[in-house]
Amino acid sequence: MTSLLVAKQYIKKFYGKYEVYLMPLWKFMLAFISLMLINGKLGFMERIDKTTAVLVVSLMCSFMPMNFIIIIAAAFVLLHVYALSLECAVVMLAAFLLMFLLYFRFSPKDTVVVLLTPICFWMHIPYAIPIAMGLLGTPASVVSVGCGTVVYYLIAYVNESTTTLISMEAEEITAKFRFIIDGILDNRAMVVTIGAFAVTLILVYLIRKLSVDHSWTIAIIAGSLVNIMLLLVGDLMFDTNVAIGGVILGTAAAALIAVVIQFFAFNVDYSRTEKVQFEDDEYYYYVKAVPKVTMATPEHKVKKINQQKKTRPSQRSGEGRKMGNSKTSDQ
Amino acid sequence: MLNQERIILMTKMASYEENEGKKNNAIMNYFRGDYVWLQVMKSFVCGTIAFAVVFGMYIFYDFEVFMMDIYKMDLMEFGKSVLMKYLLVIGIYSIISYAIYCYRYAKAKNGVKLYMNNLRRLAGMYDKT
Repeated sequence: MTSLLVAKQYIKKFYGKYEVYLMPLWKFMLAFISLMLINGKLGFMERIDKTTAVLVVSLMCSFMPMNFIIIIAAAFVLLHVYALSLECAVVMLAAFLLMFLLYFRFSPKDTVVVLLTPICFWMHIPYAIPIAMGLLGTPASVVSVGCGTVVYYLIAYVNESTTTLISMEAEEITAKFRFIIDGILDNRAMVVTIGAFAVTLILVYLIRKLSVDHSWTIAIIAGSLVNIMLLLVGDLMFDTNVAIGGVILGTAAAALIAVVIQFFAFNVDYSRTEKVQFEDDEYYYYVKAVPKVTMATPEHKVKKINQQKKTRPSQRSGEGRKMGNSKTSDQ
Repeated sequence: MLNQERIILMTKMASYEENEGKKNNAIMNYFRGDYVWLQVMKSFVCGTIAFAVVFGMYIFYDFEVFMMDIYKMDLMEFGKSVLMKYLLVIGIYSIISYAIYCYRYAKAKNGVKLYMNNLRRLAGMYDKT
């Protein structure tokens, strides 16, 4: 157990120190994985269905803000679907527009969830999303999880109906349009999933907010059980043909992932190394604030503070002397 | 002489200025009424575009039936029902965005108030030395 905590400390220290380099790498990996998955699932437009194109776009995404990845992923989906059928593309575009106009005006930070939800569905760990967002987010994340689920089911429906849509080439636009909209609105599995995810997320959020011991662990277990129950009840009531074994295994995997998240994120005010500059009448200050990594168990915490307090005054005055010296040497 | 307490306070304030402070100042540049009104107007425009998209899809779904019925049905009644739904949707969306942006303005004001308190404390520290 101690070695795990020590490893956690080391990882957090490493992340805090090198976040400047790790963030672009993380954005590159997210963009690369999501675009490769989109190409794999859809792949109707050959020009963008190439690894080189994905690599170049992912490299671009690593230097842009996070929301740029979402826009690129949406563009890729729209281009693929446009290569299949114009009506599909219109419906997809309308769905994306509604999501961005109505919800993401308020919380542009939540857009990552819209990308992560379909990715988790494709990696067969969809139930991790409501539990993880219940642990890490707010009740408002229900809307972003719902949007992500809708995107997944839209793409899955387009995939399923590829042959039908190609065979309907000769038919009128309105017939194809009606076929796509009917397929989406009548999708009971989607509605049941969104409902189950919403309830799970809110339940996990409410339980982890309680001031009881092990509230996070209780929240994960309760969330997993409620998720399984709701999906099975939905299957009975609405005949959604959900594989029971898949649900139970998927939820178990989700609970494991949630435990890992709890290990890293629980009780932490995450802070990163910050460099700030300011001046007063006497000095220019160039300050590097490095976050102190504290252990979860009280005994270790006391040890660390005592040890650090012994070294800090000499370190600080040493640094002060160094800064003063460098200033004079610069002059 | 380097005053450690002053440096720690200044570091925290500089860190706030770089991150939260920029967002809070952008919000506090407006009066409360102006800020909330501007954001509600933006929500109004977004809501109208969203309603137009949904209405367009609805019309296109049954386009042939609609084109046939257009001469038979009472256009005034249809127009009235569409307008009522539009006003209802826009009304609810505007109320939600009003509440959200009032809350955000209050949070930004609080952040700026804390920063000003720290500034006063810092000025006090300089006066003492």
